[in-house]
Amino acid sequence: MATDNTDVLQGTLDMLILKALSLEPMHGWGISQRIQQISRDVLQINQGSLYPALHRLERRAWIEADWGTSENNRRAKYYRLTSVGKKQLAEERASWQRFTLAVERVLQTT
Amino acid sequence: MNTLHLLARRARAVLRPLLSRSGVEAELDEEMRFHLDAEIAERIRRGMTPEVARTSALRDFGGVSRFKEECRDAWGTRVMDELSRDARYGLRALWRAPAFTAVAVLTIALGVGAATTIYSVVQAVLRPLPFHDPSSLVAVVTTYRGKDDAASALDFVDWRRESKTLSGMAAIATDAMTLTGRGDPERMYAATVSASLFSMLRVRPLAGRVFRAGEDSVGAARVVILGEAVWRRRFSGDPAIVGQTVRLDGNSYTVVGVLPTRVTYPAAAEIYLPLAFPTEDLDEGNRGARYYDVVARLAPGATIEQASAEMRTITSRLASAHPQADEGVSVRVAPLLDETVGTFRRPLLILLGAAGVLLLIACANVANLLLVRAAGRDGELAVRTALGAGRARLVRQLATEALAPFLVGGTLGTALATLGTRWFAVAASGTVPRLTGAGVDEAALLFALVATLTTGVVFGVIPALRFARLGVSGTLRGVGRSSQGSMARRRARTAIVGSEVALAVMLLVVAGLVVRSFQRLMGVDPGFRRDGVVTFRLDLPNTRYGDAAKLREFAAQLDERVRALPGVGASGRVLRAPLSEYNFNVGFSVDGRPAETGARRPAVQVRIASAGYFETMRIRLVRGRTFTARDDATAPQVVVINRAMARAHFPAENPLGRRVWLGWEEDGVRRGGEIVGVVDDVRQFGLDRPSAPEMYLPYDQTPVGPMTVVARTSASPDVVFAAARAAVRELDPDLPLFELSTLQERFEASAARPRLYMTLLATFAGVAVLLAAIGLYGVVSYSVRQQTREIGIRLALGATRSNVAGRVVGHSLAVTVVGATLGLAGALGVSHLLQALLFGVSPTDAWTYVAVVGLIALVGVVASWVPARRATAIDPVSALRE
Repeated sequence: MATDNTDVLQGTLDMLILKALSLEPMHGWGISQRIQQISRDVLQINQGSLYPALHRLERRAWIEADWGTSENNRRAKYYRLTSVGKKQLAEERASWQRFTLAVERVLQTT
Repeated sequence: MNTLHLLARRARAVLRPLLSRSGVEAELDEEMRFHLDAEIAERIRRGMTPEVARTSALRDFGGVSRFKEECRDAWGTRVMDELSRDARYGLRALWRAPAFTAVAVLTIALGVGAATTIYSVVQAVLRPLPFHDPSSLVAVVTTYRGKDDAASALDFVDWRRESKTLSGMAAIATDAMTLTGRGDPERMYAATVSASLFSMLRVRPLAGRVFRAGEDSVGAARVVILGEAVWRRRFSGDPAIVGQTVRLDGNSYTVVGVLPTRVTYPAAAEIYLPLAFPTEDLDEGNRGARYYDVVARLAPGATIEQASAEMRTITSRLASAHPQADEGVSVRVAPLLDETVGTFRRPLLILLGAAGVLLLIACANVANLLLVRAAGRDGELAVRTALGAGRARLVRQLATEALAPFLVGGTLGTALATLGTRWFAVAASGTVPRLTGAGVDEAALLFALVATLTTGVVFGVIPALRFARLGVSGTLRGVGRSSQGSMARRRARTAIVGSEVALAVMLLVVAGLVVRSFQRLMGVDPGFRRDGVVTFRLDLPNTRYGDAAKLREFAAQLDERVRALPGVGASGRVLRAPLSEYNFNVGFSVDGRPAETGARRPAVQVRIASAGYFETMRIRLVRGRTFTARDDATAPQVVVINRAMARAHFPAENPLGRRVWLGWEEDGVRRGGEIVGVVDDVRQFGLDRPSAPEMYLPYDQTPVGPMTVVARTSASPDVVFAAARAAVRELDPDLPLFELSTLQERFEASAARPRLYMTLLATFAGVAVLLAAIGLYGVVSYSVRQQTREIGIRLALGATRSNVAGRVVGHSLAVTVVGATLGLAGALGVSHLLQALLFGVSPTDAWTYVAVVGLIALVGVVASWVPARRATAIDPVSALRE
């Protein structure tokens, strides 16, 4: 079962995945590595959350998957952002910025 | 990406996991493996040894199966998966406990089958009439001194002219006609109807047309409409019959149309003729001659109350204008459906109620069985919870398991209902109207489904929820011991069985009352000996037997032929045989008493009998004599009266020798004469209807066309009938015999309705008692099993075996007594509703109630007998060691 704050975490994770995939199609491990790298190891993506999230996003048609060949010649499932996913990413990004801005304002009041 | 492609992909993403499980599972596995390998490679790249990298990666990766499950959740397949697993598990569990399964499934099947059958029958009988806007159709019923009667032609004509609230008012008379000229002569039930009837009902003919205005006037061309059944049977369904002529009672009639069976009125008729009132009916002196049924449609905007009020006003004006004929006459307007279904609504609703109660008992019984099973599984469930099964998951599983017998039983019950409805439609076709084509319809199926599923969910989910509330540790601790949970459950089960007993007692009381009243009915002395007498009817048409001499001549020849039939000892003729519900009510006066007029004028039922009639029927002679061959046309006019007439009109004097005269004159001769005999009362209108005052006239002094031949014979009826047909054919080849039956059959047919109700109610009650007994047995034997230790201790401490057995039987009796008390109270509360079904028995008949109590107490003892024996057989030593 998922822990508390699922919505926030899930929502955020979804956005991060979409963002990572907006750069290029990637397999699941690649996505987790990329997010870890970019966030300078601040954000650790647990596989237990990653794959359910990927399957959920695929079901919503925000991303789609195809089997391809990895760098080391293994069969791997590559995820790619769809046009719907791109729109979704833009929306999530905007609302995230509104959210952080709001939080920032609250925190800055003295 | 275009929309279509997007949709296709999306559909694939949603559907693929559902359709191709194994493929998707394999992909998921491969994806996981790839991830793990990549992670291990990364860790090695960062400098870990392969083993360390592998173990650390595995550890960080966590439980694969758990998040695979979560992925499946994301696919939406998990719920379906588990449901199908539960269902399989449920079916397996059913299979493993065949006794439980058989009882549960059969119980539900019986309950659902009975309830659905009766529901379907009620639906069929009470469904709207098959005519346009059926709710606006009404019957206009004349009442005479508060009792329903028929309308007279003159009243009808006045009503039709004056009424503003009713339109298309039509009169209907039933008649019988003989069809000749195409194969054997056949007697047909004919309805003579106002020409407006079918256009008012908006009946669409199968072929041809309905009657036109004016076709019901005197002197109009002779036309006939055939009913579908006759059309198919006699004219092989040939539409070309329209326009041709057929011979009815010796006259030619042009067929103008064919009416479908489904939408005819009155439904019993086989052919339809336009009703032209005979001129004598329209003579003011005959305003009191009432033969007609009247139907109409409410005018647009008119309500039934307005129509009723208006018709009453018109009728009371007629009554004051013609007090001679219409004094005491009033009218009521009722929905046509009510008049058609009439007296059947109440009994059918009672049957439906009884079937519903049976369904309740069935459900209670299964609920009870499920609780027993649930009790036996506390341990299993607790262990599974401890091993990590989700609470919701277990509840769902229990519910699915509980639903399985309801689904199987419900399906079986629906099949039973289909057969049952068909059986009922055949068995009761002569008894209950509107059953043709009755079947389990959508509404009944829905009813069955809802009833089954509701009970299944309620009784399946309750034990599951109880479990959920109890919690694991409590249950685990309670394994094998009496715990708080099982105490509560025992109480629940006792309550359920108690209510089962209560409901069964209610059904028993109902059945008991109906059985008693049926016994009373069968015990009624009909006034004649019914064994060994065959009867058949003849109707000599006016066209060929117009005068009295011809009738007498034919009758004499017929008597001779009938006496020569196989095995015939005595024979006679009558208009008409007992139990025919034949109403021939005529006013009369007594010589030497002032003539009364109008409503105060006494009236009797008139019967016309030949010399041999009384002897053949073995109707007892009370005083004087019956008719002899000497009472012929030339002899002085004589009559025989029944005891009811002697009692009512000659209470303090010897009626013999008094002269009585009927208001019935023919060929200038007044019917009636000197009273020469008094005979015992005979049930003319049904076993449950008391005999009315009756006057018998000798046939030769009162010859009429219609007659019923009765013959006491030692030969088999079929042989006699065949010989009779041949004999009559020789006398008149165009004269059909009809209503061939034995007196015994007539007797049974007259009791068919109460017999049907009794059979069904007694069956329901029997099944109910059986189910209650099973429930009692279950509760008692389970509690014996639970108390094995306690009983062992008691025995070890010196309790006698009979003490122990007494306690067990006492437990059963306690439940029975409480249930029976509630049931009796309930029965007393509803019994007044039964009045319509009862004859000669009060709804609070003490004998019935006492018998029911005795029976249910016996059931309580019998049901606990086996468990009691088991309790006394407990070995204290092994019971304590357990």
